[in-house]
Amino acid sequence: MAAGAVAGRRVGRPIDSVNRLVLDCGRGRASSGSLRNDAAAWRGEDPMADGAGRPTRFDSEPPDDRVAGRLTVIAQDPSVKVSGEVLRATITIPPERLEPGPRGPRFWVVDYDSSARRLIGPAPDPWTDAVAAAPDESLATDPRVRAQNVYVVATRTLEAFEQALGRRLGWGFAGHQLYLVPAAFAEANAFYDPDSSAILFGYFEPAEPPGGPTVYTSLSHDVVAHETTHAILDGLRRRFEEPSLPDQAAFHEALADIVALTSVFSLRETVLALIPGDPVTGMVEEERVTAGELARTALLGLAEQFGAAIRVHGGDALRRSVTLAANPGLLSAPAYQEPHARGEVLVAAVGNALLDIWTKRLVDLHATGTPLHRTRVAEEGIKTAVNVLTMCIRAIDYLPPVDLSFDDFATALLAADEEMVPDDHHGYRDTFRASFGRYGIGEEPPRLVRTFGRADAPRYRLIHEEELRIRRDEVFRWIWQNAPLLGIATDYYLSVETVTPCARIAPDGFVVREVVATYIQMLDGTAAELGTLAGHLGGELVIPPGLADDTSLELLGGGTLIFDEFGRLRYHQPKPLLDWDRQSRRLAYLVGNGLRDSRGGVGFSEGIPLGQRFAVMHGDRTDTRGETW
Amino acid sequence: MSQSPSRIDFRAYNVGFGDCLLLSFGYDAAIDGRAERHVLIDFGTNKQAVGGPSLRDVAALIEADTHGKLDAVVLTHRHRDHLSGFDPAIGGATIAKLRPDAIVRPWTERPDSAPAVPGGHGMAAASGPASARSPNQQKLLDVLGAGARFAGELAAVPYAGRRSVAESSMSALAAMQLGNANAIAQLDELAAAGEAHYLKAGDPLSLGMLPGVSVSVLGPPDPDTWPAILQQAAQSKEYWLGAGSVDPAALAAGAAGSPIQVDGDAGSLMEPGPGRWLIDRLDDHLVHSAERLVHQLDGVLNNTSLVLLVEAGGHRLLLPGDAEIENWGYALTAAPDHQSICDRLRGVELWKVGHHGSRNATPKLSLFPLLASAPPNRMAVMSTLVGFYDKTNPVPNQALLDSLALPPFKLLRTDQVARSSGARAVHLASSGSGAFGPAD
Repeated sequence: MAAGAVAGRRVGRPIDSVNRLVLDCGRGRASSGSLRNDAAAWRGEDPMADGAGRPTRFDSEPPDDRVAGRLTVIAQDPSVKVSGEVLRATITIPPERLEPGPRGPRFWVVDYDSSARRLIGPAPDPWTDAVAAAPDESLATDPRVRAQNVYVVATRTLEAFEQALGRRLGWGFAGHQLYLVPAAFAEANAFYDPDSSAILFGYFEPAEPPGGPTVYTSLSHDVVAHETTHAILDGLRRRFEEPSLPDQAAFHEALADIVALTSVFSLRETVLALIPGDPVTGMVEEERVTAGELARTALLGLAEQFGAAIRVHGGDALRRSVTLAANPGLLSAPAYQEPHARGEVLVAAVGNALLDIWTKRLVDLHATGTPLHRTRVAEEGIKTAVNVLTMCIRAIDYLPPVDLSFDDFATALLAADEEMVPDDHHGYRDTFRASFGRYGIGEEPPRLVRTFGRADAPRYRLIHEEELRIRRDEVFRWIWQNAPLLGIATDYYLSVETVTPCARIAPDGFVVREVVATYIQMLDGTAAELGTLAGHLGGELVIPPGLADDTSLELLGGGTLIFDEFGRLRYHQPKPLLDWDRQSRRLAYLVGNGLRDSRGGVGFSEGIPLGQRFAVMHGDRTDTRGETW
Repeated sequence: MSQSPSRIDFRAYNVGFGDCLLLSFGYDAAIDGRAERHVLIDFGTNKQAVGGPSLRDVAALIEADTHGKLDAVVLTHRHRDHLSGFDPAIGGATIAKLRPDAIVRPWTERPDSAPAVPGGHGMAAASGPASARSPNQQKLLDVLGAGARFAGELAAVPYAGRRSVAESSMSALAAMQLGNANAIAQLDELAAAGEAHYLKAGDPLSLGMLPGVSVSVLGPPDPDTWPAILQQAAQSKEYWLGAGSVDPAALAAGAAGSPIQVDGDAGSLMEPGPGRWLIDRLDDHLVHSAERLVHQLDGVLNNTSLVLLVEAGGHRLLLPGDAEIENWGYALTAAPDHQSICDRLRGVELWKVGHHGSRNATPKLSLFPLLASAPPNRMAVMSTLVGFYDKTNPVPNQALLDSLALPPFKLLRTDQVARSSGARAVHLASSGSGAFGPAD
């Protein structure tokens, strides 16, 4: 049976991933009274209070630490309603001690509005479900609602990453708690700002409809998930903000959109509510659940209320990317050289793979020409989306640390999934491969070097496995020993940047401890010098026409190494420093798009993480390379 | 007519924080009845020097110094401190009386391509044809237009009581971005009556009314050939043109400087600690956002500056307006003749220091060493006013001043000349092949 097959498919999952990603039942307010505390909430009572109105538990402890904590969120945003009521969903987060804010171990909500200079004191008990208790008309005005909404959606987004990767993830800034500021300023904007260790959510009066209710970006599931993803990815791959080919910047936006898109599927009641079907029987004709029809549902067109806000931020790939007509030439078209538009292509490829897998699964469920029950349609969609999200997140460990391309992502996604789920009887990988191909994204097997079991296997002289698991210097020593085998040019700057131990459950059910390490290489010189060097090494660095010989250039390279539980190299995802074709393309792109520093230098690593991009983009020039006084 | 000027006079009037330069050429014999020619480069101020002449006074000085006839007027870019004097109500009427034959402006000022900004500039734009603009050019024009509108709204934010330093600085900077509709209309009118030149780097400029004077246009670069000039602009466009950039009304609300209103129990958030740290950071967020944007606009607009290299009678003069590093980058590193440009810059004798001596208008590594090479007596003229602009990065910049205090430079500042001698302008002159020095 399909459900069993699905459960069987995801055998290779990280510890503790079980089914918590398929979150607890949410329920629209229109549904008949199954929200646990509905009745009390409508009466304006504290549903958790005893008869005398006293709280029945400690303020900052979850109601019952044997189960996950459940809190309600706005399922999409306040504009998405079913039967005239705002769609909500109850989801599950770790049952942790929370302080007023909410404030937990990873997030801290501070409701300060710098525009109005107004600080909202947090509700005393974060485990009281403020979103469930608030009537629709006060969702936008009740500060407890936005505080809870950002906290729960962000927590769940981080949880999805940690579950997929099998480890705790750090932020891209010093510190453990990311501030969430749910009404930070009166701007149609929301952004991750690592300088403030914060995601700042703006609010604004909408242009359309004029005089409409104030729009809070913090009430949009998609905006919160999108921005949280930027913060998480920044922690995982700091150098994705370096000057590079357009794929890399596009990937940041695309992944944030993919996460927002697929994580909505984890809200079961939301999915149910948004799938068409007979309101009485729940049956849906098969022609209404084709990939094309499903692509037009609210599920795959997100953040309706905040289109403008997200466009300002640049993440408009979220709109309805899945309807982007497939064309392998798209990524070569001038219109898709701009990172935001380009991101949409990747979202389309992933979104269409999701739709294909989903609809293929539906085919097995019924005889041709007969209707389906929308619950079944929803269940299959949820399982598919959760798997797709997990595949995308797991791919991150397999990505190179610099100069990421969409092809790298496709390669990493397929490789990581094969490692985790060798038995792909639902054909996820083939479907992904085909969908990537339709959008001109290719797998590049040669880049993914399997070294396990090879005759010319790496050497381990004087390498200590325990050290290799935790120490950059030991990984460097290992690289040094094996540099010729790995094709790493040791004449140039080489540094191991990260060494990350992680654990997962292997297909055979055992715990596997692996290590993901990244190294980078850098080379600075003038265009003339580097052009000459390339020639000496038998390559050609194509200097774009008009680029002066004395222009300063910086070339970047690096790679990702994955060691198995015995410290053996299993994968190497290299971006060779001396890949002159890539370097030439990068140079052409940066020069052609005016992406120089203020002295005209090209490709310099500015070390500016995501989010500062906002400040830098709109702010003082931080890089004047000695030209200022 | 192949006569060369035998005398060159250069005046930088003490307009305070602004530019008003008069370049005069004297000839041994009259040409078409006159033995002199006069070019006015910019005429505006953001803040008049204490005890210095008003712009009306300066207009009268120009009238006197030109003996009633101007041959050409250059507007390097449309910042208030280069433009405001052209308002007919200030000095524009006097300038009009001097009947300049040519009006020279950057390509962004062409009336049919200049962005329509309410109360600001390029009123003809609203009805003007899009002409043949490339997408990059249009992008830059859009940014300039949207930025000016934004600056106008910020400048209009009402402040009750005292403003914070950041607010004052943001507000003042916003006001500086605003064009003056009357001044621009005056220039448009003069341009319509005579020769109108709208230039970008590399464009030929032939000013027949200036015998023996050659003018090379080193900037601003065309965004098509030097997309780097768009780097800030292109990214900012999204923000300025977006549905909701910084809302000036919200700024006004936050501008009162009122104490933070606390609803409910703030717990420890108002006490010293990490929460308070965040609140303090956020508190300045809006003002800083606005200020960042306006700074950006300031730079984008400065980078539309004409950069002119004037060669006459064997002398070279460099007039870079307020061009910043991005503008300079093209001429110094990427123009087809950039080597030749660099060679010629080494021979500049008189240099108007860019942007009143700011830190980023005299590229330290790519431009300064050229100017610091021979000849031994290089006159650097700085039109500036201490204590007016940008408290964080004061103008003029001390490190630049320190470098200009060393040979081969001889620095003359409008503010200091006025203070020491009561003169109303820095006035330098050169006769024949002699070096520039204080005018008699």
